[in-house]
Amino acid sequence: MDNLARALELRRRLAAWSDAVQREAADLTDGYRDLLTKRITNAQLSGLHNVVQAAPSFRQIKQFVAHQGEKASRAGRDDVADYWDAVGKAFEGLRRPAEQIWADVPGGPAPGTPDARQALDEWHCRLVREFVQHLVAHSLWARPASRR
Amino acid sequence: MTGQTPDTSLVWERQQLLAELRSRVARESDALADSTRQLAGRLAEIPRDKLDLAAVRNVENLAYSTDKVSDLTDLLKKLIGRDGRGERWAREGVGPSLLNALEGLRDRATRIADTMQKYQRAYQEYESDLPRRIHLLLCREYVRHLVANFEYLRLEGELAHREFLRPAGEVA
Repeated sequence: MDNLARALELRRRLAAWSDAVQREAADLTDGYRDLLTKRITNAQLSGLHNVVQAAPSFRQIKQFVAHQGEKASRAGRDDVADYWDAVGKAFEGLRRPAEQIWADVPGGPAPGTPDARQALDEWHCRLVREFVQHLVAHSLWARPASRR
Repeated sequence: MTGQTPDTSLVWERQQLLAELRSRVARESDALADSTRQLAGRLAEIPRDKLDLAAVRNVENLAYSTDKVSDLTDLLKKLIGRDGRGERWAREGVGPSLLNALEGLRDRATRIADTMQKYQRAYQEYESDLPRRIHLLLCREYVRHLVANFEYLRLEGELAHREFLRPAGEVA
């Protein structure tokens, strides 16, 4: 499979995966609906979106989410800390589909090499970006004000 | 010259699948055209300074440029969610109605995809992604009809309004 064909196939698989995972992101949001607006603000969600868009590695995304959880814990907001914990776990869980999609499309860097590890990390970040897009959109939608 | 001999029966099957798919989507699109009229009418009632043609076209542009249905539904969710005052996409449930209509196309897409299973080998090449792709095609058609009806009904509404305001006896 040449590079262009591989890129197209990865793109197609990402699209299919993203459409399928939208429900999961919505369910996560719905589980914390009561916290939306007042405890988990638009500013926090925008911050998450911006960090995820710009992060060069999954480690930075993980740090950001952990930091948000720690801040909430220090402020005594255990429910909010619980939310960030769930978000972090969901992000971690995207590693497996990232590996799966990567493995299903042949022609990438040889497994186990630094190039492969970096490429997989970038791919993991792409999946997180898709997930966050769904998470943020559903969070805005699920707020009481938008249900008129 | 080396290379694999093309499997002509598979090529033929692919062409048959695509031709029938195009025809079924076109038929479904014609059936959708009228059903968008009522929703377009509700959108057209929103004042122009709150919701203009560009805002509605924005949804259409995304529908035709994305390869994911979720991009489209995420955009609508954001537009509805950001309309805290309920003056634009959240007004009288117009945005949620559009969102539900697009989600509702999923079943139609699945039904069309099911009819394509007779092209067994060509169908398998899509690796069960065909219903999703058809869903996106139907969403595009739906939004296209919606925008066309919106444009028409808004103009019609404005012309009727001007007619109403014209002093008696004045010729247009």
